[in-house]
Formats: sequence, C-alpha cells, structure tokens
Amino acid sequence: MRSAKRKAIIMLLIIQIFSCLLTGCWDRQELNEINIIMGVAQDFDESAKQITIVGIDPSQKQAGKEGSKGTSGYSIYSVKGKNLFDAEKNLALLTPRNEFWSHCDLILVSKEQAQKEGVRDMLGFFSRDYSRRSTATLIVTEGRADEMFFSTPSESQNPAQEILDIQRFVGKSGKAINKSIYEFMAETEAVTGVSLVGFYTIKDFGGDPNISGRGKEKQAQGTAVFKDYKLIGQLTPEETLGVNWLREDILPGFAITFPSQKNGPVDVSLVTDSVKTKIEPFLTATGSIVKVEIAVTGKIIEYDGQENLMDEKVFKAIEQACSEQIKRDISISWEKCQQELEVDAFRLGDKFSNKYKTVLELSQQEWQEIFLDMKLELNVKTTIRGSGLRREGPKRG
Amino acid sequence: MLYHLKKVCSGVWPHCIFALTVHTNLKDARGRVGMFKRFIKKRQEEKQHATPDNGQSAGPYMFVSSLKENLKTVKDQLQNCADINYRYLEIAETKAYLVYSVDIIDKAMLNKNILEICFEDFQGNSPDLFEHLKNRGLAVGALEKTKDVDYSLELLFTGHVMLLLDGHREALLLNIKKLEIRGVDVPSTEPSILGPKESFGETLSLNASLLRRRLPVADFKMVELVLGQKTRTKLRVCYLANVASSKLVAEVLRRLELINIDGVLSEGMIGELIDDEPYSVFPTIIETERPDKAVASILEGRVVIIQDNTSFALILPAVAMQFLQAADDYYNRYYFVSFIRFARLAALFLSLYLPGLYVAVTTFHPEMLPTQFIISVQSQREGIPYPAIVEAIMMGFAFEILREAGLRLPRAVGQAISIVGALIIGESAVTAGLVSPAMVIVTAVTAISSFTFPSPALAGPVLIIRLLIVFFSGALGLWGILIISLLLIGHLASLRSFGMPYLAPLGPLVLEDLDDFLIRAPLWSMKTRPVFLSKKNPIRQSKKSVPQSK
Repeated sequence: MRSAKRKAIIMLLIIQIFSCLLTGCWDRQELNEINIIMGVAQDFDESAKQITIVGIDPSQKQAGKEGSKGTSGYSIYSVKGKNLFDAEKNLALLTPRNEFWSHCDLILVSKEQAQKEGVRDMLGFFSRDYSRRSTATLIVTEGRADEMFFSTPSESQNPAQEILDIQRFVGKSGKAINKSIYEFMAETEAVTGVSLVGFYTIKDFGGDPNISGRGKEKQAQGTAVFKDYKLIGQLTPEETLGVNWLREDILPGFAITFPSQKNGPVDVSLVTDSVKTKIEPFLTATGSIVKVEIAVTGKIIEYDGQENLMDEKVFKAIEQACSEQIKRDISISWEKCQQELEVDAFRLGDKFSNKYKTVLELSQQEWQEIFLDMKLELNVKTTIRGSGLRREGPKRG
Repeated sequence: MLYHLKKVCSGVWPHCIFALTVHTNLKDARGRVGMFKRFIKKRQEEKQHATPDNGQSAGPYMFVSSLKENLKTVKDQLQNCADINYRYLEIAETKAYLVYSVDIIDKAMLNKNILEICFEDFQGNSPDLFEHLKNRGLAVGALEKTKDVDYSLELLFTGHVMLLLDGHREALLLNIKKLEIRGVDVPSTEPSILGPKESFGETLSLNASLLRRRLPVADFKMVELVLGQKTRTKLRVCYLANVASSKLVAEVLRRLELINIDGVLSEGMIGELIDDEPYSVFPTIIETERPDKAVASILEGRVVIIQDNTSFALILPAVAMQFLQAADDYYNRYYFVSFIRFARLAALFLSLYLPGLYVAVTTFHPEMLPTQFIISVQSQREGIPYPAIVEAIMMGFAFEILREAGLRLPRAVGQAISIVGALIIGESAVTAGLVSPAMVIVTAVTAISSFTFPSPALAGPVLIIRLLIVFFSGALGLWGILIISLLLIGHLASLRSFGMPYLAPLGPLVLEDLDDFLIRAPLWSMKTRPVFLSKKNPIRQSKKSVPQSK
C-alpha cells in the first residue's frame, strides 16, 4: 500500500515535470504572435483571386500611434492567389504575424465578383475550416470591396468594425438586412434558393475628411439578392422595407412615416410598439394564395398636421393612412420580386413547406414557377395607442 | 566486547535483510539494483531503529530521609539552572529547604503563605511535622507530597515550591504558580462583527475556562494528556460524551498517545502528528482561536483539542466546506449568509483558476474572448518578452514574496512597504514592459479573493493548487485545467478526516446535511446534527422550536 502511494506520488511528479516541458506544444500561440483579422474583402480579378484583410496592429496602439483619425492601429494587406486558400497562404509572405481568423466577422464581396463568379468558393473557404466563423456577416459592395477598407473609419476602431457597427443598427430603419454566412447558406439551400444580404456603397459627402461623417462614408443601400450563390439583382432601401414586412423582420421601435391624407404631404411618423404578422399560405389546384395579416401597434411620434389628435375620427384616419402606407411598401416589393427579379425573396417557400410537406419535394425552379403565379392578399391593421405628448389617449367610442 | 558485537550484529541484520530484499525484489530490468531504491530502503531502516530521546535515564530516583542527600540529589539534577533558588529554613527546629523556580511562582504567596507560616512557632509536638504542615499549616490551595524526585522536579518547573524536610523521605510540593499570561484577547485571524470577541490564550486553564463557561454541563468531558518529553505540554481532549462518537474519541486519544516526541510547541505540531492525510496539501484538521467556534463544533459531535502555550484549538474531524465557513455565519440572517457563502465559493474559484484561465484562454483559446477584449489584451501584451505562463508564475511569486515580507515587517514600516510594493513596483513593472496590466489585475483579483477565506489554513493549499493549474494550463490550455481539476476532485473525494469523507455532505450525498453546506438554512430548521458525527444523538432541536409552530 505504501509503495503504491509512493509510486502514485512519483508518477504525479513526473507528469508535472514533463508537462512543464510541454510549454512549446503545437497549439500554443502567444497573443503578440497573431494578427487578428477583423474583415476580409474579395474582389474580382480575371487572373487570380485577390483578398484584402483588415488586421489589428497592436504595436501601433501600444506605441500610441493611430492608424487613422481617433482610431486604434490596424493594418490592411492585399494578396493574390490561385484560389482563396492559396491567397491566404501567400499572406505569410507579407505579414509578420500569423493570421488569426476566429474574430473575422465581416466578409465583403464586390458586386462584380458576386455577379460573375458568385460567392460559393468564398463561403466554402469560411465554412470548411473550424477556425473561421460561420457567423460572419456577408456584405456586397457597389464598387471594389477593398475600397471599403481604404476609406477612413468614422467613430470606429477600424473599417471592418465600422461596417459591423452599422449593421448592428440597420434594423431600426427596416431598410437593410443583416445576414451571416450561415443564414445565407441555409436560405440558399432551402426551398426558395434565394437569399438577401446587405448592400453597401461609399458616399462622398464632399466635406472635410478629417471630420467623421463629412468625407467618404460607408452607407447601407438596400439589399443584394442572390440566387444559387450568385447575385441576380438589387433592392432599394424602400423595396427592402417591403420585403422585411413580409419576412417578419420589422422590429418594435421601427418608425413608419406616411402622409396623413392620401396624396397629401408626409406629416405623420408612428413608432411601433409591436408588430404581429400572420402569414397563411394556401396551395390549391388553381394556384397559390398567401394571406398576410399585419397588426401594428404604436404611438405617434411626429405630427405636422392641424387636426385635433384627440378626435377619434382623426385617429382612425391616421390609422388607415398608416395601413395604406404599409400596404404600398409591401406591394412595391412584391411586384419587384415577382415580376422583375422573379424570385421569392420573402421566404414564403418555408411557410408553404411548413404547411404543405409536398413543397419540400419541389426543386427550386419549380417553386419559383409557383411563386410567379402566387396571389397576395394583404390586410394591415394599425392601432395607435397614443399621440406621444399627451397623457390621455384618443377618446374612442 | 560482547556488547559491541551485539551492537554490530543488530545493525547488520537489517542490512542483510535489505540485501536479500534487494536481491529478490528490487532488481530493475537489467538485474541491477537502483541507487534510489537502495537509498529509500536505507532511510527506512534508519527510521525504524531511531528512538526518541527519552532524556532521563531509566529508573525513578526516590527521596531519602537525609535532607543533605536529598538536596544534593536535587542540586545535581538542577545544575546550571539559574532560575532555581534554595532557601534554608528551620520549621519547628527541623531543618528544611525550599526549592523553587523564582520566575514562575507567586512571590507574595511564597512570603506570606509559606515562609511566614514556616517561621511561626508550631504549637504542640505533632508526631508528623509533614502532615501537620500539609493539613493545618500552609495556606496554599493545592499541595501534594511525593517520594519521586523526577515527578517533584517536573512539578517544580510548573510553578510548585518543593519543601524538603530533614528526616522525611518525601517532598511537599506547593502550587503557587504565577505565570505571565496574555489574557483573553480579541481574535486576530478570525474577526467577527456580531459574535463574541474572545479568543483562546496560551494557558490551558484559561482555554478550558472559556469552554467550560459555554458548556456548564457534566456531559462536557475534558481528558488531559501530557505530550513532549522535554516540553511536558499539557493538552485536553474535549467532547460531549452523549453526542460525540465513542470511536472518534477513542481514535483521537489513541493517536495522541502514540506521539513520542521531544517537544510539542504548537497545535500545528499536534495536528500534523495525528493527521489522516499527511501527504495531502489539504488540511483535515481545522484550527481556530475562537471559543464559540470550538463549542459549536463540540455541539455537533466533533472533538476539540486545547493545549498549553498556544492560542489555537484543533477541531476534528474537519471537512472541506468548513474552511469556507466563518463564525459570523451563525450570527447573521440566513439569506445574507447564504449569499456570502456563494461569494466565498466564487472567490475560491477565482483564487484557484483565474491565473490559469487567463493563461489558457490567451495562449490556447483566444477565439473564446470577445473581440474588443482580445484586442485590448493583445495591445497590453505587446512588447512583453516572455509568454503568458512565465508572466503568471512571476507575478504569483512576486505577490507571495511581498505578502511574506509584509508579515515580518514592523508595523511602522509595513504600510509604506505595501504602498511601495503594490503601487510603485507594480506600476513600474508595467511601465518597464515586464508585465502586462491585465496580468497585474489578474494577480490582484486572485490575491484579494484569497483573503476572503475565513480559515487561514486554506491559503497554503490554494497556492499550491493554483501553481499546478497554471503549469497545466500553460502546457495544455483548458484541457490541462480540466485534467488537473479532475485529479483534484478525485483527490478530494478520496480524503477522509477521522473517517469522515472530506467532501461530505456533497460526496457522498447526504441530503439531511445540505442545510449547512452552501446555503445556511434558518436555525429553526436545522434540527439534526451532521450524520457522520453523531449517530448517538442526532437530534439537537425539537420539532416545535419555531415560534409559529403549535
């Protein structure tokens, strides 16, 4: 018994001693040996694949230098390769540190790249390696994707972080979409085969570039529509709003602005407290119908009119006007997607497949044909709870 | 000649046995005996033959009737003892000597209660002057007579005055002990806000009185033992007879009686000598300087050992969770106490794991950290010339050195050093690029967390385990932390303290005892004693003790 105890002690000591010698083991990486990549951009080049990365440069931050106005240090490297993996390996010829992809949350693709070659290869690069996150955000850019990184970031530490920060709050406007590559791939492989991602441009305000917001600023401009990993079209911000209504992506706190009278000047803004959407699909022998009922509850946040807001009739008229506005927004998007783009951008395929399991057996092309003949029956009900300033609500009969 | 031969042979036999054993059992793969094994075996043999120094020679000395002879015997024993005084006097025309240690007796009592009386004219011719002095003469509370020289010398050094009378074969020993004692002080290591502010002292009688005052029942037993051949330290094993397990008490007494050492200076030595798990870093006996905590443990069925010359008592058996429980836990409301216990557990976790987690996550798993955080940590570590594990170990050692230095500094200098050490050295180290600010924060949080332990005995094990965790995390990351954690839990589960599982009542799970584990249930609901401690008398509170019950 005593010898067994002695053996156990000696064994533990040996384990301890040898474990100390393992400090150089294969997975060990010191923080000052890695280059944390925040974002990557892929641009179209007929000769080779080019990627541009934004990495954190701690030496600049540590030495007190700034990469740009009021920001922490970052570095931008561009390399080419036969494919993305080859390009990534070529980064070792350029960067003094080892690339660390686990914090890469942004993927930019130029519109040209997305149209001509699609994004399948890039998504494969991100989804096959465990060190790269599938929760990264995918964005399509108007011009070259790397130009997004070259423009000076405003109120953010680096250009990639700036875009990510913008994406965090696009839901407030309802006119943009935030999509990760995981969600993108899930939608693309689903019934519809269609996915939407954010679309960005660089807007030059023509002012002093040293002042945030006055120089060349990145701006979300609607969405890019993909089918089968290739870009097929774009939606304007207003059209995106209509799509978001049907995709149930409108969040409470969203503001709707509409004219209080038909064809009148825009003078009412309503902030939503709750948005409840009920989508009922119907698949018959004669065709398909989707009945959408949207119930919006909110408060008036701005009113430029002269009517008495305590009057019930005025309130009802405003509610009706709001409902009409929502219907208009949805109708515009519906027409664009059904007639121009000819794709189901509203995820209706999922709704139909939940109710009708046979839809799952259809190919994406077959579903597209069903969608092209689909009828939309829209019913929007708006309830205004208060005028925003007065404590009392409208007097209702 | 024969004597020397015997001695040689007695030394040779073990070596022969060893050689045989070596030949049969200890050969390695090549058939040779390893040096290390031989060394271990030799040390074992030496220990077996070693005997403690018994000091005195065999056979008791007895007093004789001649005063001169007795005095010579005593003086021979007490050569070079400068604190011993010899006072000649005549009591009723009989020659006598008073022998005493001048530093540990009450001189006023010596003068008034002994010398004055001895100088009085004794009326009548008492047939036995000794008996007359003993029964009617000397105004001293405790006295005894003995023929044993060794015993009388022993009492001499405990504050007794030895009276030798010519013509008598006995010595009279008069107890007029007066030791310089500290008295009842405020507990220094276990302060309490709401509870009593008494602590044990360095006198056994004082400690016993503090316990007896709180347990004025005949059931409260104190068995006295004397340990240490030279120090002759008295200690008492205290327990409640109808609560504590007889087996536990018997085992404690058995282990104490096995102790054969030259001196016992503190309770820590006793604890180490009777410990169940001598090779484990975790203590299985708890030390306290609070009498209320000792009494509470006795009431649960535990045994408390108090001793002379130390202001701490030993409580056994002790389980892991006890080291995270404070006396104040029973003086505050239960909901607050439960929260505080969770906070202590969180502090224990931080103290153990924070440096290791920092090393593991920054070195092996930076993808687990939020992006902004890792950017901040990376910029802080920029320019640090060594890996995170070296930084962690360095800072850990630096803190321990500072803490140890702070213990030994004079109070006047201590505060200045703490400011110098903590602020200036720390800040300078960061500015010089020797450590990162994040590591300083980690070390500071670790240190502060380690100060939340109610029992100082936990600091040592936590330090050792923390270092182990840092080593393992530096080698294998979170996987290394998992390995060491599993080993630790396995080790803790295997420990026992006088038969009681160390992780009780969590492992093995005893639902009845969970009312005083992580949370502290209301006192009116804690009706039973711990299951492992008192099968004899498990109920400590009646079911109708709640005011609301009918």
